[in-house]
This record gives sequence, C-alpha cells and structure tokens, in this order.
Amino acid sequence: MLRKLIVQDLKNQRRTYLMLLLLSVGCAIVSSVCLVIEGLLSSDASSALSAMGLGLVMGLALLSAFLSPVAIVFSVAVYYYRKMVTDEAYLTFTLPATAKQTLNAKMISGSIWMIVAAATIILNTAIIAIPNVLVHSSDGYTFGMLLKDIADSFLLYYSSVPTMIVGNIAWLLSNLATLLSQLALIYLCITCGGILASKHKVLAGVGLYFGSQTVVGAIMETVVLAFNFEYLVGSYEGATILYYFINALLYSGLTVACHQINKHLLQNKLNLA
Amino acid sequence: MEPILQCSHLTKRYDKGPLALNDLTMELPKGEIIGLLGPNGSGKTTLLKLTAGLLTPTCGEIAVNGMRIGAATKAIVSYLPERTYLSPTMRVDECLNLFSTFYADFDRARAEEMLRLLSVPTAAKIKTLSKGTREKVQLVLVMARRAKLYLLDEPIAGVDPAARDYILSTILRNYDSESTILLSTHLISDIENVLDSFLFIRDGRVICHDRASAVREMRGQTLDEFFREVFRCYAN
Repeated sequence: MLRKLIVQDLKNQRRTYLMLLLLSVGCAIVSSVCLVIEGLLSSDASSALSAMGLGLVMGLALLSAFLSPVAIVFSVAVYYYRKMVTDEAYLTFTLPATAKQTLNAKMISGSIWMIVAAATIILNTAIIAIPNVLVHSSDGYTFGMLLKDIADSFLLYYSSVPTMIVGNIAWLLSNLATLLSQLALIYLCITCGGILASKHKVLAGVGLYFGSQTVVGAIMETVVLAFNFEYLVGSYEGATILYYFINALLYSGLTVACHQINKHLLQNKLNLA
Repeated sequence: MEPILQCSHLTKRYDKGPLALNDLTMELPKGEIIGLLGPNGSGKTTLLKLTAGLLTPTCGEIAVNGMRIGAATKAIVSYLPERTYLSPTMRVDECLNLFSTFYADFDRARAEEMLRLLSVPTAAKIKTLSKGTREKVQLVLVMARRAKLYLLDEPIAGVDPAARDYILSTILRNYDSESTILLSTHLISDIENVLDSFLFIRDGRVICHDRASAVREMRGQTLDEFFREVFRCYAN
C-alpha cells in the first residue's frame, strides 16, 4: 500500500514539477548564453540598447532558473495541504491505508521533489558558471583544467583527499538533514493548522511554521555553539567535519520528532469538518 | 449474524461545542437499505464520518464488521460525502485508475458502463463538469465498488428530480443484497419506498429504529408523515 501511495503522489505532482524543472534548466541555458554573448561582444559592437535587452533577458532567465525550484518547494507544501486538510482529504483518508502509510508516502514523495529541486539549483549554477568561466579565461583553458581547479579548491580546506571526501559527505548529509527537517516541520505545521485551528487554517499553519522555525533555529545554534569543536578535535578541518555531522544528527532528530508528532495527530486527532 | 455496524456509547464533541453524538448505541444488520433520518444538526453526517474513519470519537466505540475503524474497514466501506472530494484537475479516467489501484473491490467495467450511460467523457477534467455531473461521477465511483457497507451522505440533495431518480435507480441497480446501505437524507418521501428500515436521530441520539414496513402497517402512515409527527413533537 505504501508503494501505491508514493507512486500516486509522484504521478499527481509530476506534470507540474517536471514542467517547472525543465523551465528552470531552460532559463539557466538562456541565461548562460546571454552571459557568453555579452562577454564575447566587443565594447564597440555593443550598443546601450542591445546591452540593456541582453541584460533584461539574462536577468529574467536567471531569476526563473532559481525561482522555479523554489516554486516546487512551495508547491509540495500546497499539495500536502490540499490532500490532508481540504475537501480532497475526504478521499485521502478513506483510502484503505493507515495514517502512518499516508504520511510516510507524502514525506517520501515530498523529499524526492525537494532533493530534485535542490539538485536543479546546483545544475543551473553549473550551466551558468562553467561556459562563462571557459569563455572569459585565457586561451587554451579547457573543461578538464576547470574541473582540476575546482577539485584543488576543495583541497584548500582539507589536508588530504580522504579527509576531503569525508568532509563533503558530512556537508551533504548536513544539508540533506536540514532539507528533510524543513519538510517535516512544514507538514507538521500544516497538520496542526488543519486539526487544531477551527478557522484560518492556512494562517495558523504559516504562523506556526515561522514561530517554530525561530525557536528551532535558536535551539540548534545554541546546541552547536555549545561545542567548542576545534578544542575537542584539535584541528579546523576536523572541527568542520564534526560540526557537519552533529548538524546532520540534530536535524535528523528534528525530522523524526516532527514526523512522529504528525503521525500521532493524524491517528488520534483527525477531525475532517 | 454479526451486525455490519456496531456503535457503543459513541460520543463526539467538536472543539468545545455541543455534543454532535451523545452516547449513541445501536447495531445495523447486514443486507439492508437503511435510512438515517433526522433534522439538520442531528448528527447524521458525524455518524457517517466516524464510520468512514474521517473523525475520531471523543469516547465510546465503533466497529464495522467486527473490526475497529482502520485500513481494513476502509477496504470494505464505500463512502459518498455530501461534497466533491475529487481533485478538480484530475480527469475522470484518472479517477477510475485511482479507484482501481486502491480498492480491490472496484468494478471498473461497471463504472465505465455507468459513465457511458451518463455520457460523461472519461478524458474530461472534473473541474469542467457541472455540479450535478460531478456528483454523479462520485456516485458512480462509490457504487461501482462491491463494498460491504455503503455510506451515502445526502446523495440526492441539491440535484433536480430527474437526477434524483437516476441516483436512486443507480443505487438500487448496483446494490448487492449482501451489502448494507446507510443513506442519510432530508428528502424522505423520495427514498422511503426503497428503505428496508430507518433510524431517526435527534441531538446525537437514536430515538427510533424500526422497519419501514412497520410504520405503514402499524400506523397507516408513510415514513415522511411519521417523521413529521415525531419531529414536530420535538420542535414543540
């Protein structure tokens, strides 16, 4: 049943989200092309008008390249709200599935889209940056040389390749945990708004989210700052890696806590008016 | 025979408001069409939603086919709410796919035949359909399931008389004699001829539960007349 729910959620969302993702990558390509053209034009050839036009297209494309993935994140929250709080929730909660399965499916499908959106932002950054670095660099500078320079820049922060790999894994886990904790918190706030508020459910959910974000952020930073990592580990790079792992652990804990509270509310406090 | 629905001291209060259901105890047998009748605010919809698993009781117990409300009961209960619960952006064929995927008892061929008779294009989006057609599509989806318990909340409210006749005939045509239909409505005169038994509910309690034929035979009244008599007394 969980697999069916996940597939259904992904199917329901794919049309809109794939369109947004393709739009964002397309805009990144347009933006990159505009930047390359702008760089290749000599100062005699470019007139004020063409520079303005080019700038406008590039600006819009740049915005779209990064706003589209952000729109996906917003849409994931709206989808959860529609399926769990509005009239469509009548269908959701009469399917032969437990509240736990329903919530797990939403969490998994939402996480997939959020990770894809985040990956798209990184991809768009590469699409925009790489051609322009190659165009604006000295003659003979190749893509292979660029990759080597990027790899070398990582080693500025780490003493060896294994440490660099561990550090980047830690960084990835930390950001992944932060992303998933945000999703779990958004879902929990929407559920709280839907179940606990008799009126203004959306406002209640939004208010709860920003309020809890402030509190959670303050607690997390306090806990992390309480550890003097460099003293504990004895090196800056070790402290950085430890910071990322502890961050990942704390935000994973937050994800689990939010998810469990949400599950409890849906199992025991469901009141679809 | 085990009853299809058992309620024991079932109570439901919304927020800090009055009781929607007040210590309700009753059992419904299998294989009947039962009218759930009562004035506005009497607790009909609350009872149906509790049975469908959309509400949690404040206290008391409710069981369908001897099972607590959960995924297993939702697999054998087919619920038609009084509002549209299908996503407006879904197509009719996507709704059919959804029901086929999740409900093992969904008879897709029967649903497609009913939609064909209604001339509803399966490629149409729900939002492009009229209100009446949307309600009919929902009814088709619900009645195309071979469920053990059908919960129909005001299925003929807000539609024209011709549509009412269609809905009632659809219910009867697709009704399995081993299943139970619990149907709530205000339009008693339209449905009393199809009912095997009825429940009068007022202020969250069952005040009368009897066979529809008993009212006609013992009292010489239609169910509609009996309803007006009973609830006129309460109104006074």
